[in-house]
This record gives sequence, C-alpha cells and structure tokens, in this order.
Amino acid sequence: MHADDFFDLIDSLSRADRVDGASEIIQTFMRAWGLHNVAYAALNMPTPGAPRPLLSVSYSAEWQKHYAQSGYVDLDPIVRSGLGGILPIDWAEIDRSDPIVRKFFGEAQELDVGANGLSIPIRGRLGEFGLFTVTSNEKDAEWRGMKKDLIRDLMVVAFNFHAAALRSCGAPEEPVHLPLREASCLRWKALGKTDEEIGKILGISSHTVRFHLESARARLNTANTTHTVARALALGLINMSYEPNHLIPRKRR
Amino acid sequence: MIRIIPGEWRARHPRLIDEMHKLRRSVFHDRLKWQVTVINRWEIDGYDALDPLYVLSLDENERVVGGLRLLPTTGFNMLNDTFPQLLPDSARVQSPLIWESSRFTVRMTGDCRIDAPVISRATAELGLALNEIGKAAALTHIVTVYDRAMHRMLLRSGCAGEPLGPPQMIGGVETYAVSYEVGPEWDARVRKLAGLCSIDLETAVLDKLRARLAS
Repeated sequence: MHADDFFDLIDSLSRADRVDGASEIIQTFMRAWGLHNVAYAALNMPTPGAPRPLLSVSYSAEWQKHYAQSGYVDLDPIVRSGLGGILPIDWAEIDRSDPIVRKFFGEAQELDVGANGLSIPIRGRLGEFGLFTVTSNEKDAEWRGMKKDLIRDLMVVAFNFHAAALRSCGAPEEPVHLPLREASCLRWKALGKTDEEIGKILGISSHTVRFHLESARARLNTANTTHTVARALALGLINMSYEPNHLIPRKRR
Repeated sequence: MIRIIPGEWRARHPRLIDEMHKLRRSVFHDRLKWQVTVINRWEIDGYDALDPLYVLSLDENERVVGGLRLLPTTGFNMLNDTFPQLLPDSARVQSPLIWESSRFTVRMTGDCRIDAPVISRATAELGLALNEIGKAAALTHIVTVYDRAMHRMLLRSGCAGEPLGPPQMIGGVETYAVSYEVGPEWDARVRKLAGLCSIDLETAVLDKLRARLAS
C-alpha cells in the first residue's frame, strides 16, 4: 500500500463514526490496491440497550440475497474458521474437500464476491468480536505477493474500522493516556533520533523502542510513527521542550 | 513437532488438550507451586475460555512435551487484565500487532541432564513457532509474562525477552513482563539454542503452519 494512501485512509477512518461511512471510505481506496470487496461483521457490540450484531458488506445484492435465502450463515467456512479465532485467514487455505464448501465458493465467485480473500478476526476489550474481510480478483500468484505486502496494513485498517464501529454504537471513548516511556520514545522520534539512538538514551534495546512506538500508534489509532508523533503533539500528549514532560507545569487556561 | 490448535477446535483434539492441561498442572501447580486453579487434574483458567491459539510441542510419540497459548492484546488477556502492575504506568498495551503468549511450559523431570535435549528442542520449537505465527499474522511483537526461573533459563540460552519494567512480586513469585520482536533476529537467536539438537525445526514448524487449516 502506498504510504500516502495508507495515511489518508487511516486519517479518514479516525473521523468516521458510522459503519457504512467507514466502509465507503475504504471502498474509495481499495480499487487502487487491487482489492474488490470489503466486509465487516461484529457480534456483541455495545449498542445502547442490549448488545447486538453489526454488519456492513460491499458484496453484490445478488450474493447477499442468495446468502440469506440459502441459510449460508450456518455453513460459511470463513465465518466458521474466522469468527472466534485469532489468526488471519487466507481463503486459499480453507479446506475445500467438502463439495458443499466448493459449491459455496463457486457461487460466491459467480456473484462477484472475489476470487481471493483475507479475513482478519477482531477481539475487543468490551467482549465484542468481529471479522474484517477484503477480497480481490487478482490471480493466485499475484494475490500471494499482494497479501504479503498488505497484511500488516490491513490488520491496522481492520482495527481502525472496528474503532469507528464502536463509535457508531455510542461507546464512550476513553481519554488517551500515554505512558511515560511511550511519550519519551515519541519525543526523541520527533527530534529525529533513530530507534538505536533512542534505545541508548533510554537504556533499552531498539526492539523495545519499537514496541513502545507500536503501542503508542495503536493508542492513537494512527498509520505510522510520524503520524503518531504529529497527533501526540496536536493533542498535547508530548511537547518539544527538553524538560521531561511530567516536570513541566501545565499552563492555566 | 509443533501442533497448532485454535481453542474453538479443542473438541477435535481431546487427547492433546487433556495432556496440555495436565502438563500445565504438573509444572505450575505441583512443581512451581503457583497459585493456580486445578479442576479435575487440569490447570485451567478464564483465558482458556476465550479460545486462545494453542501451540503445542510434541515428542516422536505425539506426546505433549511443551506448550503455550496466544491471545491478541486488543481483547482480554493476562497482562492487561490480571497483571496490570507489570505494565509501564499500568497503561494497557492493546495493539492488533502485539499478541500475548502465556502459560509457556516445557516438561521437566528430576534429572535435567537426561531430559535436556527434549527440553531444549521443545523450547526452541515453540520459540520458532511463535516467530512464524507472528510473521503469518504480521505482528511486530509478542509480549509475555514469566517468572524469574524462566527468565534466568532463557538468559543463559540467549533467548530472554527484554523486560518492559522492573520485576514485581506477585503471589510470592518474582514476575517479569517481557517483549520479543518478531523477525529474522529472533530466528537466529532461537536457532543458536536449537543447535543443541539435530532436527530441522524450520521445516517442521512451517509444514504444520501450512496444514493448520486443513486438519
């Protein structure tokens, strides 16, 4: 995925507060990456009143109708291996020795779902869980190469999509708190230090520096370290003074 | 040999799941005397109910000699929900690219010398499998909680993770939260440990990973 596109997508998703809106945002980007459809399903979502499922798919109306009429939700091999699991599932890895499964994939392809697919399971801290899927019509060899390049970005997209879905449920967003180590790593990044240099300064390995940077990225729902630094600065979570953050008295408003 | 069993498929592998819970009981309850729950000779807790991904190391007779379980940090997991005191500033770590490994165990006998090759092979296999799973799921890091004895054992073999903060006393046990970075460097470290035994670990692990959805 091109870095600029990825940044724009994640940035747009972070402002989405409806599931359909989030899906439209992804659809405007995905053709350029060789992706065909996007689907999201989540159970146990904290909607007001009682938990309920959320669903948003870009599949053809014919497939959606056929899926419902055939009762496919009960035998869908992707739902069966993905929902409740934790490993991302490449549809090509699914056992197709059962003729019913072969028929399912055949019909799906006929009704324009896509020749290949990748489904990413999601688990949240409120006990909700979901499955985020992208499909592609690229041939198998191209798809394998594409998947290798895209999978990490898609993991991030899946969880940022899920964050938008949570916002659509009216789930209260907790204020972001950056632990001191994460804030220090971001501040040194802003000052142009490499991971190795930051590790030396803080007395930890560059591996652990990257651990803190990834943890902070996920906290702020950003696309990469530069994006994280920018947002942390904008939110006042770090500042560029040379004094440690916690020693600076807060300005009175 | 590595066998990967998604928790929701435990009913398809009743013997392996039974052996794993009994191994955990014999290590964590009987030997290390941790304050863990034992039900019907199994050590089992609430995180097992969340359908983690089990990674088991089997000997040539397909007996379980080691294992661990993986959970994403975005949902409920031990570090965030049981041991938050081990986290820097007690702030939850929850990233789709960081998973948690817990209940890492390998079979021990009274005579470490006799079992040493088995222990090193299981440890190395599990280490390599973790890295392969990490790559398959595009993770950046795996975080885990372990005790001082494990930390010293892994330090000796050059495979210890880096602590995220100072160790804490939990239930009378000195406990660490450590992180591993997924990638080629980890492979190299674990292979150094695996040099103690003769099997081709990478092939064994990769084959099982490829077969994971076919079984």
